[in-house]
Amino acid sequence: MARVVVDVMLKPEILDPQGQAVQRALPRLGFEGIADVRQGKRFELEVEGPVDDAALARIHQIAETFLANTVIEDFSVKVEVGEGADAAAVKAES
Amino acid sequence: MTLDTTKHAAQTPEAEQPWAELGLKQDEYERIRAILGRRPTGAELAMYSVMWSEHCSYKSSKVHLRQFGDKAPESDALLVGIGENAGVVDVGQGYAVTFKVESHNHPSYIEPYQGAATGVGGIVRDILAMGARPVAVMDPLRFGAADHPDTKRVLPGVVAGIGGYGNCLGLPNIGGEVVFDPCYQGNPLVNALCVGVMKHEDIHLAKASGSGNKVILYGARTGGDGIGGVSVLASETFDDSKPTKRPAVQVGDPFQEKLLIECTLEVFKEDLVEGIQDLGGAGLSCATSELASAGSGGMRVELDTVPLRDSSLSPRRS
Amino acid sequence: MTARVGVITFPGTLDDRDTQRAVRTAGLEAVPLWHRDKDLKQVDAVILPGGFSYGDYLRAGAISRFSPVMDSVIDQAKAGMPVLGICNGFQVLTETHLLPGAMLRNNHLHFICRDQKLRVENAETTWTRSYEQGQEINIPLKNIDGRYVADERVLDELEAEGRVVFRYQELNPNGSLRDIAGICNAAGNVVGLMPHPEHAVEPLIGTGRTDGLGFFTSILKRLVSA
Repeated sequence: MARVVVDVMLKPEILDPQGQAVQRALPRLGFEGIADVRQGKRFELEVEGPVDDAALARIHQIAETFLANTVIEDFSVKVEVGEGADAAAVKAES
Repeated sequence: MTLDTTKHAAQTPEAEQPWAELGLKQDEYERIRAILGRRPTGAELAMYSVMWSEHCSYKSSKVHLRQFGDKAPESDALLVGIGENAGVVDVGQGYAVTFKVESHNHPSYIEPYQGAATGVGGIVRDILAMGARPVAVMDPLRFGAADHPDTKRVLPGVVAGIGGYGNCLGLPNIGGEVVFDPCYQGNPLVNALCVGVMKHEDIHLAKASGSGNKVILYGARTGGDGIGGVSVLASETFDDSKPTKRPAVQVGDPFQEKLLIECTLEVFKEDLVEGIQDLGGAGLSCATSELASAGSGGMRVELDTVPLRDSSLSPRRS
Repeated sequence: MTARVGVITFPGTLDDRDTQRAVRTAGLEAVPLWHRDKDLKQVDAVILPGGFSYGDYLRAGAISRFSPVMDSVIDQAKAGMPVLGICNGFQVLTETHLLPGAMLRNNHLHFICRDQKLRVENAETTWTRSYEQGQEINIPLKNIDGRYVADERVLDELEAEGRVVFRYQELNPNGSLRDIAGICNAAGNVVGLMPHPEHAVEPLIGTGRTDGLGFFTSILKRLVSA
């Protein structure tokens, strides 16, 4: 079964206090050199059947109408091909 | 895999059993063998270990706790007293309140947010099991010195866990108290109290009498988190050199519990419930045996039919 | 015949009973509505109460918007039926796009529960006509995802059209843009806000004031005069 990954991130202009809290904690924990952190969500969708254009279009629709709220969030869709194989990326703009 | 049935146990008296790992003492294990007239099966051993744990049986503190029953003044207002999930007090006009306070200290020490949150979750189920609608929570807390690093680690998570879980259930936290003292360093006390309201006729007890009743298990699926929690976690002092012995603290799901509250109150309303017991730290062992022993008969429990969160879980561990 | 106000219960809704009580306190009939029923039982108005519908999993209100009852609510709201969303109900209304913008985690990241002062910025909506323009009211606020956000264009539009219905006073409790506590749609029949009027309708409890009662008497006025 193929896996399609949908990443959902807050739009750049939206304040992300959770990401900021993580970023502020890093120096306290001794990790230097991280200028910014933004927190998002990752969805792993196990697809029945082939991941063709039709399937990707359907997933794009799922992401746009349900997984992400496009008022505040952007999303990207990428296909993970098999075990060990490089993840072929199909980038979808939102 | 050979199932460790009672028959199998009788035929293999010399089989090594992990009684010490389950928190039992040598004399306790021998006592179990004497009671049964054979070695316990794996499932039986697991049940004994939780039922005889300090957490469930109060074996060391029972002698003191008993005084609450012995010395309590007679009162008509006390509708349900010691021995049930929670006490019930008459407040007039046909109404009664039920409340109970319970600690969740060790889980809160290990994982402050989830430990405190599931402490609230547990006490709410006790109140619900009495037939009442839970309406509020309160929390008496004890932490180490206010400026101690461990207090800083534990306190924010505990406070957030209590508030967050209660809020998700719609239960306001109407009060509490907090004390800081070095004697609680490494052993904070996290208590949760829940109050419920009901009509007198709505009182339900953990007592299943009569034959032919169905036993229904409902709520979250049974998982491996929290296993051995009461027999090991609640009775041992922590030793940093042995991290693997720490059982996982459970992760609460307040959404599931809110559904459980509404579902249970609807089932009560339909007058379908003979007896009810919530599942605490000792899980099915306690809930089934307590229901049956308080009633008039026994109970047949098919552990294989318990819905599992993790399909690799064996009957011994449920 | 008194007016009928539907109160929706989703799995995880918490304030449905308080909302029903507030509706009755104002002299209206409260009609419980179930998330799985498309049937709105001929109610004259609908309230989406607070809570954690579907556990707030994914995003607050994100799963509820796809429940059967919401199809009917969206249709009726567009046809002019008065709809009020309180807290989680407000979040559901933004997810359905009946109201613009969205709610995010409070800027301080903590759950907050306090008596909150609000200024009534628009006393013309279906749900606020019992109040005076500019009146200050004090009702409970309790949430962790209460920070109202929308892009600048939407915010400007809301202000220009008088669709900011409530603003936080004295203290902005969650970082909401332009201190926005509640908004309405262009027609004024759909209102959403984060604070809880239904918890402030009886002097015995809550803030000790009845500042929230105006929402429910507003709708009574509107429905009886209609």
